[in-house]
Amino acid sequence: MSESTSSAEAAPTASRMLSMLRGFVTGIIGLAYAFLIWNATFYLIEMAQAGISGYGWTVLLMPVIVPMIVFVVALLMTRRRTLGVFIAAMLAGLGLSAVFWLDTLSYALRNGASLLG
Amino acid sequence: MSSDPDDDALSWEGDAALDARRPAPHPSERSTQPAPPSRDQAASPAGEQADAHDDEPHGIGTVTLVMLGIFGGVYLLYTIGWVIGGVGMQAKAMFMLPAPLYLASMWIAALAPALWFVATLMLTRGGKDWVRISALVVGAALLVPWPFVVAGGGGAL
Repeated sequence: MSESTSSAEAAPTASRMLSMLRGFVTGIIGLAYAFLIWNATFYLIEMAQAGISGYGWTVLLMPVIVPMIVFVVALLMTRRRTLGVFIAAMLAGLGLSAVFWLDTLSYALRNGASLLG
Repeated sequence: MSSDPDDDALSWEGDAALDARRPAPHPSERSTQPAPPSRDQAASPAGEQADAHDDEPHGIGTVTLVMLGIFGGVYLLYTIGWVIGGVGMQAKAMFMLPAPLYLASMWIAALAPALWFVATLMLTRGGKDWVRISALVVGAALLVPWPFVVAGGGGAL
């Protein structure tokens, strides 16, 4: 981990501390994204056991992929911004991912028959 | 306001910054529109002496401020829509999803409009007004509470 390597050095500078904090925050928020991905994957597996069509696979795979894309986009957009802006953008992306996941879930619940193969 | 700051009944920290801004009002369309009364004006009895431009938050025009208010209201309705729609969808969703998974997702989605609003304001701080409004428009398009909408607004899926 970066913590162990930096603690080996004599005095971590303020910028190093800040980048460590940034990495820590990225990890925590990344876990939240992973939670959403896990949600979507869980549901996909449950549905796959019932037997879904290619269309169903496409629809239910979207909320697995979209949070990853949103995460990367939010990360790239705020690469040169302050920590506060970075956190705000990552959380907004998390909200967007959750919204997309529930939109998909709502569609799957209403149109379950069209997803089955 | 008199030219000598010592003649004022009250002086505030930041008066120097106010005075520095006073001689140069913003040369924009805002000069034709009255600024909304801010708490500074309401609080001080000598508020009518102050030029309306002095009470404008620096960098935010009246039109932008109104748009922010409108979108704030829309986002607030979205939040309510997500809570109602999410709770309405809950019973059916839990056939296949464990309750903690679904509920956590639902509350993140309910917070999404507020998170987007804050992130937009922070990310576009100091940017052009149309960029800020566009980001809010995009958010309003993306964060529509579909579970609420497709259920006819009743929330019962």
